[in-house]
Amino acid sequence: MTNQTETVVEQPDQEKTDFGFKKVQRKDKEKLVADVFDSVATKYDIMNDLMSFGVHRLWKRFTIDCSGVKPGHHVLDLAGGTGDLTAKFSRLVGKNGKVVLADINHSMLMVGKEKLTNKGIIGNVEYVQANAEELPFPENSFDLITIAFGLRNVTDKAKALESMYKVLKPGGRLLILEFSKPQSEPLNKMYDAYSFHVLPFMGKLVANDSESYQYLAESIRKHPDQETLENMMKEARFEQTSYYNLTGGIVALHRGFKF
Amino acid sequence: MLIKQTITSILEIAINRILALASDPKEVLLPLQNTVCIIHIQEIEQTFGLHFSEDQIEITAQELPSEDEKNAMDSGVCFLMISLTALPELKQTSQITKLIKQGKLDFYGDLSVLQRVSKLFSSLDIDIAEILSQYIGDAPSHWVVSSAKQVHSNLEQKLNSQALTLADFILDERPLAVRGIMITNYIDEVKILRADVDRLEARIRLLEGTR
Repeated sequence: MTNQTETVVEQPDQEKTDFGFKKVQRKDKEKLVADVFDSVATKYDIMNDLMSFGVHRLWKRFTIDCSGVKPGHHVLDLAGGTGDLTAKFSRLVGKNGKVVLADINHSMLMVGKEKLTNKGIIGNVEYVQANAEELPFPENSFDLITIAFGLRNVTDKAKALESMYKVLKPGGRLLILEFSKPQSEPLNKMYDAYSFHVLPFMGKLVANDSESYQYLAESIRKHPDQETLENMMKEARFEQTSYYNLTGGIVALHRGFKF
Repeated sequence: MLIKQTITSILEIAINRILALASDPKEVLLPLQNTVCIIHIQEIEQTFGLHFSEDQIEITAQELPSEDEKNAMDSGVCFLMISLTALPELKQTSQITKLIKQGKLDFYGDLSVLQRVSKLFSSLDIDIAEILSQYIGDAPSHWVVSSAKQVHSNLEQKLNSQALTLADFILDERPLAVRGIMITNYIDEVKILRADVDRLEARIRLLEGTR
């Protein structure tokens, strides 16, 4: 035990990253995040509805409204999980378009695939297990890339943004929907109380897993705030970047273009 | 900020529910598959997109297209600016040209999309009693529908009677009421009287002073 602790201390800081409030080895984060999503995959949709009181559907709808997606477009729904956005995009791009539902987590991808197939959404949807940091697609492939509630789980966010920039077509846009920093102090306090006390309890009750939901609350706090994320997008060469605060800044939608 | 999304969400559920109840959505949506109809409602200054897919209609909140975008609509896409009151008239395909001529409908893009949308909504024949009977039985659904019809007819009757009263008032009562010119005359007369009183008051004060 002592030896293990000493080994961790000796590691340089660059080799570590956040996993919620814990510091872990960069190479381990992927596996730890995968464990979280393996555990919650089957209850993911119901927990989303419960935790957000259904408002996550409106946040996603706002994302779609900002997408400017047209029939024939190629869309990458990154960290697409159970396919809420993919389902909509599949209908909006039509037969001549294509939607790629990509997720690093195989369990989530399978839940998404089963859900969409049961809904009859087939034909223009592809499923790809992919790491956002190294997207396995040719350059300039997509008219639109969305990543909803996924970026905070990525180990190297800057690398992921660069990778997204690479596969986006010139004129294409990136939309990042993610938890962010509430804009008022009273809301921030209420939100803290809710996420650190109610969320893990709900997780325990519904998904029999309080730790994963404790990680969810912690990972939200460690995620870059609105301004920082916008600057990161600019550093990754995205242009005309902007963001919209939703529900008082609990969630923010960031938008950037590649020209 | 999410009000638009709430509205589109409710509209989308309602329209698709109606579609499913009225007919086979796949069949009626076939001619419109992969087309988009963008509607700007003038009174509320809001723009909505109706995206027709294989089996349902997706509704999105949209930005008002720029002049360039309006004039460069792709095939399969149409944009219309219309008043809320003229919207029901779109159900008749024959009314489209008339509405454009009357200036009630501003239209850009693929006219055939609008014609097909118009045809879709006019073809929806919904038998509410039959739909309700699946949930509450034949007799209660008949009672609900006939009651609703009765309430509607009573309301219509009351509205007609009130409209008649209003018309009577405008034609008969209003000429008897005080008009603007009469009020102006009255004000002028009061002003003259006030000036007379002031003069009288001044004369009295003068007389009192000479005593």
